[in-house]
Amino acid sequence: MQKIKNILIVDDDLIFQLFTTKMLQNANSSINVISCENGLLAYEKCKELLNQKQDFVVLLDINMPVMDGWEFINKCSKELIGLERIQLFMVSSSTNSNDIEKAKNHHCIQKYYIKPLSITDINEIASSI
Amino acid sequence: MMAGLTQKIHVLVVEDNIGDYLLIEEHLLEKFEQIKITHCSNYKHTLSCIEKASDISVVLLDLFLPDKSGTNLTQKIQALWPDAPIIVLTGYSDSRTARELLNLGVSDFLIKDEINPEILHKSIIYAIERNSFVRSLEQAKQDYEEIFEVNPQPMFVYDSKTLQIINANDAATMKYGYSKEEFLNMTIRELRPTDQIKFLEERLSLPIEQRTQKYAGVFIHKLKSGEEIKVEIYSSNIHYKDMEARLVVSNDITEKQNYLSTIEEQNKKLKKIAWTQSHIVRAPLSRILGIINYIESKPEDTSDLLFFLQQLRVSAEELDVIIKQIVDETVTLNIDLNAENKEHLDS
Repeated sequence: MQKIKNILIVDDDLIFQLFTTKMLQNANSSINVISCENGLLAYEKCKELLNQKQDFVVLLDINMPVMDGWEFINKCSKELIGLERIQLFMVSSSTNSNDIEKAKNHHCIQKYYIKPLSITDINEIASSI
Repeated sequence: MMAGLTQKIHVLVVEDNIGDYLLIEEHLLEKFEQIKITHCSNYKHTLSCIEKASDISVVLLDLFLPDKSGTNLTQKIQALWPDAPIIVLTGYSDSRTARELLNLGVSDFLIKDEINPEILHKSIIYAIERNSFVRSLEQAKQDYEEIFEVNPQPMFVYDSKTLQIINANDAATMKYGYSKEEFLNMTIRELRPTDQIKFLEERLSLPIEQRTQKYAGVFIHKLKSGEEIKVEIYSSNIHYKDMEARLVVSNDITEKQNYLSTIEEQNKKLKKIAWTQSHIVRAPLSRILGIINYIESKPEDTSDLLFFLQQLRVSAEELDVIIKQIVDETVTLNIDLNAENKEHLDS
C-alpha cells in the first residue's frame, strides 16, 4: 500500500492554495493537500495529524489574519509534541531581509521560499516527503 | 631687568620752576642714555603739547602749577595720557596730599629736596615696568571678558550659594529675551518652568564641592516670552568676583530635537512602506507569477485557463490599488521633492 503524503498549505490566499495544490498533485499524484487559511486553523490541523502519528509537510505563509506564521510556529513549539514528524517550509511573498534572516536562524524552519514557487520548487517540495 | 636702560624713553616734565626743571633734566641725562625730554611749564602749555608728546613713557608732575594744582591737575593729566604712569614731584609740606594721590593711580611721589639721579632713575624704571605689567593684566582681563561677552553661545554665571545670576552674555540676552539688568535680578530658578524646579532642587541638594561635573544634561528652560526650549547645559565651578560661582553654557537643542523626531517619524513611515512593499505589494504580484508558473507547467491542459485568466485580472487590479495607496503615503512624508517630481506624483 502506498503511504499517504500529506502537505498542509497554510495561506490566506485561496488562489495560491488552488494552483499550488494542482501543481503539487501534478508533480506527485499520491500527495494529499490540506489547506488552512490561518495559523490557528493550521494549529488544530497539525494537532489532529500528530495524534494520528502522520508525517507531513507544512507550507507556511507569514502574513495572515487571525494568527500569522510566526505565531503559529511559537504556538506549535510550545504546545505540540512530536514536531519531528513535521517538515516546515516558509513560503512567503516577503523579500524583506528581516523575515528571511529570522527564518534562516529558526531551527524549526527547513527552508524559506519566496513566492512565486517555481516548478523546480514544487518538485523539490513534492520529493521531500 | 633694567629695561629702561636700553629702550628709548620719552619723559614729560611738567614743572613751573625753571631751577627745579634744570636739575631734573640734569639727573635724567646723567642716568638715561636714550631719552627725550619734553618740558611744559604750566597746565595750559601742557595741553598744547599733547600732539608732539603722544608717545610719553612717564610724566614727572609738579603738583602745583600756577594755573592748576593738586588732585584736579593730576586727574587732568591722567585723562590726557591714560597709558602713561605719573610720578608726582612735591615739597615736604605737600607730601600728605601726594600720598593720597597714590589712591588715584599715581605711580610714585618724590620729595623734591630728596631727589638725586639714583632715586629718580629707579622711580622711573619701576613706574614704566609696573605700568606695562598692569596694562598687560588689564588687557588679559579685557580679553577674557570679551570671550565671555561676545561668545556666540549663551552663557551666564550664578552664585552657587544664592543662585543669583551675576553675569550673562549678549548671546544669553538674545536667546532668553531678558536684558542684562533683568538677568542680574534673577536666580536660575526663574529660568526653569515650575514643573522642572524639582530637578533643580534635587541637584542643589548636593554640596557645592560635589557639583563639579562639566556636563549637566538636557533641561527645559523658560524664555521671557514664556516659550519653553530644550537646552543642553555645560557648567563648571569658577571663582568669580570673590564668589563661589558656576559658569553655565546653554545650548538650545529644541530645533535639533524637533528635526530628529521628524526624521524618526519619517523613518517609521519608510519602514512601513518597506514592509508593505514586501508583504502587501508582492502578495498579488507573486500570485500573478504563481498563476503563470502553473499555466506554463501544463500547456496542453486549457480547461481552467479562463478561470485563471480572470484571476490574473483580479490580482492585477488589487496590485494597482495598493500601488496607489503607497504613492499617497509617500506624499505624507513631506520629503522635499522638487517641483517636477511633485507634479508627477500628484497626477
